[in-house]
Amino acid sequence: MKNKLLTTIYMLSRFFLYGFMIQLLFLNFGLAVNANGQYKSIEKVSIQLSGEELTLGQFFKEVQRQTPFKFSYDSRKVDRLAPLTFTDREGVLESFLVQAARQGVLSFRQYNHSIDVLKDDKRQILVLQDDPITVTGRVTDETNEPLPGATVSVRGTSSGTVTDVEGNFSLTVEEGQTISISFLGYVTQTRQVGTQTNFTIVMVQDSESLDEVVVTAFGIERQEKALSYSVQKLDGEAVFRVGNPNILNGLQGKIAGVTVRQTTGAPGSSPAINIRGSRSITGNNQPLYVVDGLPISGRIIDLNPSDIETLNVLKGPTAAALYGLRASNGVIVITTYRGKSATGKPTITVETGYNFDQVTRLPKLQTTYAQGNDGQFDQQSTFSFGPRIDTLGTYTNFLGEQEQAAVYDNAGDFFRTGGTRNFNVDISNTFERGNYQIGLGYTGQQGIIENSSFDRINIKLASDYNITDKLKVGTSVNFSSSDRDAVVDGGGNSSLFYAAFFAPVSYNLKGKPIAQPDDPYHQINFRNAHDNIYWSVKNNSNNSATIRTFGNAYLQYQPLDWLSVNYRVGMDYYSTNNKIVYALGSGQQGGRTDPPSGGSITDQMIYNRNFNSNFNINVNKSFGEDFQFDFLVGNEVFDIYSKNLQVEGNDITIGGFNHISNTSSQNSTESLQRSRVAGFFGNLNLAWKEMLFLNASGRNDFVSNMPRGNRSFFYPSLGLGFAFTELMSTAPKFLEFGKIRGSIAEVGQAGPIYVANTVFVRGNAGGGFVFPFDGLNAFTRSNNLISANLQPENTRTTEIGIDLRGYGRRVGLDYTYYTTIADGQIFNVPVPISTGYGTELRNAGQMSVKGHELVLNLVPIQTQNIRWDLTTNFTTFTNKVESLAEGVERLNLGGFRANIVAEAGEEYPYLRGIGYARDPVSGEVVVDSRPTLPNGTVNTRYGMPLRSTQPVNLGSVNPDFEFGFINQVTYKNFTFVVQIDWRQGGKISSGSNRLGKLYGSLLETEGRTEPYIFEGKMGFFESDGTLVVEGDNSIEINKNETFYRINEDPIIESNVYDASFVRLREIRLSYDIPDQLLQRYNLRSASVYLSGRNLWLNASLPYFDPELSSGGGNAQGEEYIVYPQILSFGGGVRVSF
Amino acid sequence: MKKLTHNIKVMISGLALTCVCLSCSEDILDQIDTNPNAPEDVSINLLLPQVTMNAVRTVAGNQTLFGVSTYVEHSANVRINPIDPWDVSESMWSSCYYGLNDLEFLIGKAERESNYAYLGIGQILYAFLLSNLTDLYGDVPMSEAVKGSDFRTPRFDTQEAVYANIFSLLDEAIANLDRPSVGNPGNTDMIFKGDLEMWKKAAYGLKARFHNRLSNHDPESSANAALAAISNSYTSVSEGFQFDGYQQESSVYNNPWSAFQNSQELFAVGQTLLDQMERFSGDLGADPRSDSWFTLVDGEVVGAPTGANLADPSHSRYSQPSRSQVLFNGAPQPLLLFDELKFIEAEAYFRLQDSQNAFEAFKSGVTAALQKVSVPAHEIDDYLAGPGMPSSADDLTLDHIIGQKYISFWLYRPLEAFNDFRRTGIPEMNNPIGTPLRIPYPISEVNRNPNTPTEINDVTIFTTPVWWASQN
Repeated sequence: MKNKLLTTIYMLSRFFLYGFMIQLLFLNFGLAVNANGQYKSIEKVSIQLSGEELTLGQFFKEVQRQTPFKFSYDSRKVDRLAPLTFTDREGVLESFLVQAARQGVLSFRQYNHSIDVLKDDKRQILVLQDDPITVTGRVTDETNEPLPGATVSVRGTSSGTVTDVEGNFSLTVEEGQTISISFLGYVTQTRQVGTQTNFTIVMVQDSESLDEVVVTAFGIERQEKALSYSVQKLDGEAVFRVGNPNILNGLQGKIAGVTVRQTTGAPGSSPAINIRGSRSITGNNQPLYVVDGLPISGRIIDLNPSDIETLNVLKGPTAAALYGLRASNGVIVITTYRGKSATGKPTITVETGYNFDQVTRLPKLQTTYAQGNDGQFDQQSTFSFGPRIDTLGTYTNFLGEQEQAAVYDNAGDFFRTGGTRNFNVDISNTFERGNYQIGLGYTGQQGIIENSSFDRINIKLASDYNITDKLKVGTSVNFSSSDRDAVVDGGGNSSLFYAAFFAPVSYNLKGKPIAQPDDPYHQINFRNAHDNIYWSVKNNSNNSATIRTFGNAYLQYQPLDWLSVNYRVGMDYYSTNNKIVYALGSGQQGGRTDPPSGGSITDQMIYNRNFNSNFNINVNKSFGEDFQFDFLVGNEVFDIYSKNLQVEGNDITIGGFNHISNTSSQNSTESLQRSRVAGFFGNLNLAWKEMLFLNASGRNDFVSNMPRGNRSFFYPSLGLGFAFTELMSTAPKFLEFGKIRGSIAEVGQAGPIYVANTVFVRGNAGGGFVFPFDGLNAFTRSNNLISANLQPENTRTTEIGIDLRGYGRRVGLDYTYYTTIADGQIFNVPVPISTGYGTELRNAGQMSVKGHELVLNLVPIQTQNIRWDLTTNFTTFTNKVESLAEGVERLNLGGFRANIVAEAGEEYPYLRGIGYARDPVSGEVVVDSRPTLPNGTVNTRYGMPLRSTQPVNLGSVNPDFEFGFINQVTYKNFTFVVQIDWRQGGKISSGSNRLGKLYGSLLETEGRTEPYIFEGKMGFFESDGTLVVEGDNSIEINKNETFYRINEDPIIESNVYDASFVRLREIRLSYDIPDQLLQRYNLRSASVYLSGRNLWLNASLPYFDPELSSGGGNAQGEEYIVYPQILSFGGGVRVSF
Repeated sequence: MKKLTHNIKVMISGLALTCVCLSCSEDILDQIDTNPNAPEDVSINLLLPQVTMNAVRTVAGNQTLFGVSTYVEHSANVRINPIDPWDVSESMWSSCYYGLNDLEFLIGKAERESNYAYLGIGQILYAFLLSNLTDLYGDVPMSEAVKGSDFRTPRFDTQEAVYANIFSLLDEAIANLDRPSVGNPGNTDMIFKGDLEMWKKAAYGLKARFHNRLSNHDPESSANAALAAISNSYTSVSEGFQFDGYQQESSVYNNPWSAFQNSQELFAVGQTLLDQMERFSGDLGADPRSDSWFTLVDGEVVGAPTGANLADPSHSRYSQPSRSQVLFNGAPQPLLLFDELKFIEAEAYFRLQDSQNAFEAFKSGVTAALQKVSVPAHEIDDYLAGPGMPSSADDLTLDHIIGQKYISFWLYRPLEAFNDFRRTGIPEMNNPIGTPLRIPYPISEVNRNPNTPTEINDVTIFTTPVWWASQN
């Protein structure tokens, strides 16, 4: 670990050095050259205006059209929409400038052909000399140390330079021009060039920039430097940069300690997110989401990423303790845009973009062998272990046609180029007493498989209003409507991807009819019982439509400067309708009979309502010069109501009429879920001399979903920050700011809802057989026993960190180490089934997470024209199960081939399954050395690896570490962003590779007739299970069907791979349209961009994306041919007016 | 404005106060925490259909029993994935214990309510599930089983003790079925529609089966006890313990064995079965059942070698069970039929060296087995005179009895074929890697219950017989 860290630091410091070198190179380009020549004078140039009443912008435009003069100004300060009235329409430019200056409260200064517009009330018209002057100077910091690399530029021009190592600069200017000296982290200074041509400039640190504000619990804003725990902030732009339709995708790699895994590439899918590993063994490990102060339910896909202004991740419970029991997995605090305007007029921003989506990777298949087994051609086989295609010639296919044997690209045929459209409009303004903001958004995605799509419409309204000086109200309301068509990948006989990837290459999947001509539900497929994938895409469907409204209103009453009373109430309501149809004749329930049978329709309605009420009183007061006191006390009530109604109909009667009335049996389920939390909290912040910061909080929750008597619990937190650089009278340049911090906190989780008693559930007899049946209803005891004495589980976190900044904030490092112990876990502890139950819900077990996070911010290059920002996020953690319930050796969390398990003393979770038998001495694989078996039969597995007698640990699924490198290079009006994610280590059980080998489809099965000798030992198992090793293996075998299907396939280890990857996650090149052009079209700002996502991947896992995972919830680490990952590229435009 | 401010102040305080007071009183939280989705108590007539279907399911297409079907080489696995003998599913274990848990509740409640009809049926099903467990696994939890958190790691009872309990449960059941009962299950009885006499016959039939199972330990009294029980059980092929409610037109309420084949295409006909059939009739075609039982490959019945795991998802290499005559959705699931009783009778007489009665019972058994599959009378006569059939009482061997029983157990009763094989070694099996003598304890039990015997593992299942299969 330590070595890894050192390597990283070494690597990063190299980047820094390179940065300086590159910077020196770019200096030459940065120096612009002034052109000398004959310049006209404003007194001599006549113009003719189109009218007497013009806006300032129109005036500029007309002058620029008729004269060689160009105006330059800061568009944020100068209102181009300001109306002007001129006395005449014709005259010399100077007289018009005088009038414009008077009415617009402006000054104009002409140098050469450039007219500099300044917002000041001097209202001067200056004409400056055009003789160049050389000015020189020295730039130092407050301690008189030279500042190399400071930017010195001439206002209103593109010329400039940077200071050398001694802090000196030399620059050619014209008299009257103003030079500006800037350096990151320091207040920018200006000097006007008059008689003085030599300057000594002492730069003063910009205290503002150290005081970056972050939003913490309940919308409380805090200076970052006053925090005693780690938070990391993202701008909305960073989230939405490449047009991710889901916010969570926009978080990937951008925040240390946050792991986001895309589980499928399907449109509208949501990735899994973990903050600082997992705390709960089988329970919820998802963070709490708070939007504009309101906790919302976890359907993040409903949010429009383009609405986000900032996003803060409160990683540890210290930060989140105020949110109580919902916050044990961290909190994602999202702040959306509020109304803003620079000019008092509405700002309208329109943004639109389009991305092309394609499948990232397709497996390479063998193209030599045809469909069949044991070398025999079989047109109904799943396998590609048939004869050589080139020896097959013409044959009669099962449709009775003569067919010439050939090779087809079934996967290439199946996937198409999809696309994602984004369209967003933002209207916002401020007025005397408040502001408003309206956001409209549309996202539409066409998947890379036909009939898979996602569409979402978002409408957002936010407004604040000051009723009086002391009373403020506001609201934020969001509406979204989404519609998702997912492909029906039912697994088993209805799996799309078994065939999409691995259909025998000799079978022309796309070219053959999908059904009999006389019956569209009587399928034709190369594989019995299975759905033809083209038939499935056409006939099966899975639609999900969600309408969601959430929002909140607040009231803020501030009777005194230091006292405010706040109340915020919010609602989050959504309804989802899911309808899944397996058409008549679908293989899902064995319906590929003759005539077709089966088919099912599942129609589900989910209503979900969250209510949240938050009342608090905040006291914020200074005592003397040195003490700052901030105290908050309040109450929160949180109530969830959710109802799920589902009706499932089986056996469709009329094909194509997918209505529940058209099924021969129906059964319905209803589930109502309610829970409530009421909490009381207090929070105290004390600051002394901007140096010592103390934070203490406490919260007591009362929850419904615990047994009576155990419903109340208390969580404290305590944190301390010490800005030690405040002790130094003069901070050295490499350490201008330094803070150490430490905190400790507790939060907990309650149990699942309804834990009062063990219950009876609807009767069933396995498979789909559920009661009522034939008019009879029945119940059975739930397999889940509920313990009588549940206690809330408790998560304790200790966190220490250090925050260092230097070199004018061009270097910043934020390091955190944390340990988390989650104790008394409430979970369904597996019990021996002989107890009559499968699980018992009780407190048991302990889980720990220890981790390091590092955020390194560097500005390797900073010149007038170029700036390179490099943010490196580094995450590593060890997630361990410390103990489980007594008698429970390990827990199975899921997994189809490998078991994904939690085991005391082991990393959480790890993959477990049958491995290769290994020589205990050398650790090498042992192959079977017996040509005949003890009973005299020929050993068909002779020379093939032996399997372990017991399942073994095949490795943790957690990575050793993860890096995110985010580069942002700005050159003049160009901005280039590249994000590279690197994940190292961890294992994945690859179901896709497994099937590809099992079926004889993957390229590596092509060499099936070539002799092969396994590297390793040979030996055999005695009848009592002892492994006898006989020395190095020398047995020659063929890796044939017996090898792949009979011998290797049951060995789970044969399909476990390293999950490491390096990925080009995001790339974006944008160009901001220059001011001159904006003026011409009366725009405030405009930019165009090109972007790409997942454009390049280098992974240890062959053919498939190691990031994908089939397991939901906590069962990560296995991939089983899911909707493949997509890569996107495209571009867009953003215009503001 | 001042007034407004004041109003708002009042509003805030009011709201806050309301929230605080209303939201967290224990009574309100209790009310919120009351599960509206599931009852905490149900009446026994709502449990009976569940425990019945559960018991049926333990022998109907239970995943574990597909493994057993391949052990006894009734079937060969031809699906894509190989199934190794030690990789059989845990479904039998969980089905039985979840069923016993419901039965424990039903029996207690029926007893308290003097509902002896339900009590008797419950005890029969309890004994049936226990027998499934112990026959497959040997020693199993019983006395401390299905007691929830009272015994989190139930100890394992010996098979001998389990069998003793099975007999006493069946005796109690018979007694209870004779007692006046508060209620009759009527239509909630999915097997016999409330006909308690038929349940009593089921109990006697099971007693016969289980007594006969102990032949290796006490040949004589096990035979006498079996014969005594048989005399109280079913008397014709029209009677029997069987569920016939599966629906032909349904893909969820169909016989699970058929559902397997519809969706997984895993059955092929085992060559060993064909060998047995040929042994009696000389030629497979001479067995009147073979035409209707098997599909043809290129005009012939082709058996699949067991243990080879040869994939044949299209059934183009090996015969599969006929989808219209044998493995169809509406196929009834037998639990215990008349033909089995007759074979038990034959075996018991044979053990008692009463070869004449044994021979008569044997012929009745074969006749019943053929009648069961609707073979016309004259073909039955021809078959009984087949070349491999015993021509007289003196000719009759145990091989004949168990061999015929083995054929009649195809396809729906592999567990009984497996029990007979382990007890008698008949018929001879051909799996190159051997035939297991039991199945390993489920991984879940091994992991969660430290009392699970450790000497039974993937390797020793081939060499360690269960108690009743051992020779002493």
